[in-house]
Amino acid sequence: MNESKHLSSAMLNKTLPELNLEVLEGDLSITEIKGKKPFIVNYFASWCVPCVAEHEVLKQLNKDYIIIGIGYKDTKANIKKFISDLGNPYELIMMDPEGRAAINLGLYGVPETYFINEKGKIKYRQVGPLTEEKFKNIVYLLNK
Amino acid sequence: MLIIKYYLILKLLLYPFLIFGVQEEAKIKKDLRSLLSELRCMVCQNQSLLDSDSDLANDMKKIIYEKLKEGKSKTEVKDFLVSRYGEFILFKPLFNKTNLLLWLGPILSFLIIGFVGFKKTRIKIKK
Repeated sequence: MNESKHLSSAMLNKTLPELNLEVLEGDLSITEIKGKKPFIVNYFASWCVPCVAEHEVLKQLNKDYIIIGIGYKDTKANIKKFISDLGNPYELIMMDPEGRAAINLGLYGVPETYFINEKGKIKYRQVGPLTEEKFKNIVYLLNK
Repeated sequence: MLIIKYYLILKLLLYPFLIFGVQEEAKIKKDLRSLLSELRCMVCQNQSLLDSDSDLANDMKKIIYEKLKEGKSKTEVKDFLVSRYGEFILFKPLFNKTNLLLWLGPILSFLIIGFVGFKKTRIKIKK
């Protein structure tokens, strides 16, 4: 939970802002689960090399967690290819082609992952690729 | 000839509005420049948004310009960015309770050093 001071998110413990983004795949609606169930928001891109490594971890996590993917500064075709090549861990994929919603979330770059609790509040932000070990630590800290 | 006459009259009537628009844009550009120099690039961190050419900095520049164009004040834009990226985005820390010591520190140290120096000089003079 001890993020670097410079990278600590000002959005922690704040409600996840509205993400009015175009849906690429999936019929889940954020408004349906926000404030009811915990979920994970993962910003990724097909051109981002660390996102490829992180993707394997996300695929393992999607059995137990709802993961929402947001394609950052990417094209629909590239995101579709990325998913068909590497598999789809996301229940919902949205597009942020200009990175506008990203700034509203306080994003620095991809990959970045936000953990939203059942009250709809951002409880943790992972800057950089998520590993299995990091994920276990985050879950442990969030449940403490 | 008549068309030209009407055109000139119309232009004359619209002139104040045109001037107002130009002045408005100049003010927005001036505010934008001063805001960008006060804000830190969150990727480069040692550069201001004005100097930075990173992707994130360029996206922020666009959003700041749009917000100013919408009529938001410089403070409102700064508040928005602080609420998203924290106070670290500001080169100049805010004057609030948390930063009080930071702001008053130099004056306080100057007063303390001055007081001690004054006392010591007086003791020496008495001796």
